Amino acid sequence: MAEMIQVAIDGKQTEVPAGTYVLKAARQVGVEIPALCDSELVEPYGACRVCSVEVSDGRKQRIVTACNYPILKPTEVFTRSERALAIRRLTLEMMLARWPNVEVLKEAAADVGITAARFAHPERNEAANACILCGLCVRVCHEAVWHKVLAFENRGATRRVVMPYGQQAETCVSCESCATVCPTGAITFVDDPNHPADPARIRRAGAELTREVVLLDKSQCRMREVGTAHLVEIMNDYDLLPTHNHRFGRHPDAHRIASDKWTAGFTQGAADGCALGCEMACAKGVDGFVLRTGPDRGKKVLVDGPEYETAAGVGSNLGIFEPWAVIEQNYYCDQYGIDTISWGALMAFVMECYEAGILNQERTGGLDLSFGQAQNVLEVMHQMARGEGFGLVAGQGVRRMKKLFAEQYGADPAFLQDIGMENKGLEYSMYVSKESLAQQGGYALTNKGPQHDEAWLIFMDMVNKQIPTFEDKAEALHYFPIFRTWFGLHGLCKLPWNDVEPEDNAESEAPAKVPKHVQGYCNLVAGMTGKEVSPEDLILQSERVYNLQRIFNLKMGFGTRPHDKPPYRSVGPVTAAEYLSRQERYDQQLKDEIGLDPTTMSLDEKRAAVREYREDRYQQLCDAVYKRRGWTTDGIPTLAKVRSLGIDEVPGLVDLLQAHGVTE
Amino acid sequence: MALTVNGDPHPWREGLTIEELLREKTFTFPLKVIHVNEKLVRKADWGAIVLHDGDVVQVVHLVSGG
Repeated sequence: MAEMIQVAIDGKQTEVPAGTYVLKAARQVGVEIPALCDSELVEPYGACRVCSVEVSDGRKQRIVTACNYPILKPTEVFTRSERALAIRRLTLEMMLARWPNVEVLKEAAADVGITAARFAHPERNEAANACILCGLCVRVCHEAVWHKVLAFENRGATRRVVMPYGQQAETCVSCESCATVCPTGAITFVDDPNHPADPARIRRAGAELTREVVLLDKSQCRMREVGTAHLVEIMNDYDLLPTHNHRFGRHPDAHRIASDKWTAGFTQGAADGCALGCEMACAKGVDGFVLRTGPDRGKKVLVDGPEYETAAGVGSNLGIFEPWAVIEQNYYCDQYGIDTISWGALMAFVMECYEAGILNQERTGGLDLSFGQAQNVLEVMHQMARGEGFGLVAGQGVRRMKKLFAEQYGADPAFLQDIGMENKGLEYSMYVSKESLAQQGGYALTNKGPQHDEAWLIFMDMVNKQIPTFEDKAEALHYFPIFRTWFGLHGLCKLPWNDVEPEDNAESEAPAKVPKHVQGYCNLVAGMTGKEVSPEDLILQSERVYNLQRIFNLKMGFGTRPHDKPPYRSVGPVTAAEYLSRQERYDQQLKDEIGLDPTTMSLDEKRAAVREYREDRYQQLCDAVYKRRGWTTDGIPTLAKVRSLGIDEVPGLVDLLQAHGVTE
Repeated sequence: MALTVNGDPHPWREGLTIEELLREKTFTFPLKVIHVNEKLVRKADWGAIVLHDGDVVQVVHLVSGG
């Protein structure tokens, strides 16, 4: 914790952490100092000199700029001393000589008794919205947006703000941050392209989010610093980081692929362009990475910094804890057009099958595919891209490999079903859900398959224990998947919703929903369309689509109860080794929740009892969720539900439901 | 002598602060809301607030990920 320093500002005593700037300390005690180039979004700059004050801190009493003068020892500050005012007057007079009609200048000058300049300026500009070269736009573009589209050109009287070479920069995406901070209106908005109904409302919502991201993220999720990879060490702490095909949730080597290993490789200091102009800028780039394998071997490349799902999927879930191998897989997944999550899950399945003896080197073309064999994992990926060797097998994904290994190699289909991390044909994303019943549903009760985008309920359920009953879990499995679907409807990223939170979110009525941000989305919709919407309206918009998706699944042969069944690996311990690794937990559950005495049971009996209990609870969860969503016990939307949502007139929809036995 | 933390018992000791409790529980996720005996405790006070024997602590981890 920083040392606290005594400071007196115009006689008002206070105490501030060492290093606090005078301007900030003054505001804390209610002393206003005019400052034209200051913004909380950027580092202080000392450009305008209008905030000049006189300080005494043991050395010679002198004039400093309040915005960037740090208080490091007991200090007296005089904001309106004769010397300070004289400097401020002269500064403002010179500025007025050049920009006589700019309102913020006139106001600051009037505060010190100046109404007109005594001097003539060769570059006099009479415009009321003249640029006063405060540099806020340039600094916001560099420091907050990380885009560096704007810059200064020339020096002295001919200095001006430009895009490089005076041309419209292709990388400028009109995020409008520069215009938002401009104190004079020199940079104006162009609202025409999308014809929003109320552009100012959209801008206010955007500016508020920018403020939160820039100011708060560094003490929250560090998305700007490391992106979602900050979750690697956190998930390991909570026993949720999948290792060795989701068998375990923690590994002693996880620190080797933790976020500090990735930040060490991020040299760009900029967003990688996921969404130009997004201040959250969570997508990162690893620079100067030299490839070790494949067609680009030896080349020095820029690779996407691994997201959490990638680091876990192609790292810990494959027993690989070597950062180079994670980055290399990420590079080639991008090059080949392979999803890193599906890749990680299907290779983990292959590796468990290899270790279980279902696969061997004869079947893999001579490759040892034990967990941790990074070079051979990459070889399979290259074979897959070339469409040859064992890559042809792996490339079919978990669902088809289960069938193939049973048919061709005589493997036990039940075991393959248990360990094959897929549902509805899609591979699982990278969280261990065994101890969270709600998350088991969050994965397998999805429309798209077990990705992490619909519902992430592990903390609410497993850690907070906020949703203990089936009905509580069902309510969460109604709201969160439906609300998250809303982002897809509007082409918005969901990360700014809950990966940064307002300062006062803890005091809101439902912090997990981040109500202030939900209202912000209502403002965006209303600002764009001119139609007022409530948070409930957003849910209704989304619920219509969610139900249509479910019915589309039904049409394609997926949207019923059997398709919502997860692999047992997602629900509980498949193997004896898994049970034994968390024996205390499972034995306790046998005793407390099932009413059995584990001391009198064999390991196989205990595993069977835990399995029966957990699988039964999952089915009870399905019952509760279907009921909450207005679906039949087979998981099909009822006629009453589709009518209440107003989607019953979609051609063929009612006929389809009736053909599947839906009568009410 | 114990606290109740998210419904489970947790050993209490003299002088235990919220910040120390979070370390003991390995609650490292950054977005949390904490209530002690149903009263909200602001993040700035986690290092200073000392817990008492029998306190009921709710550490709500917010939804994130993604």
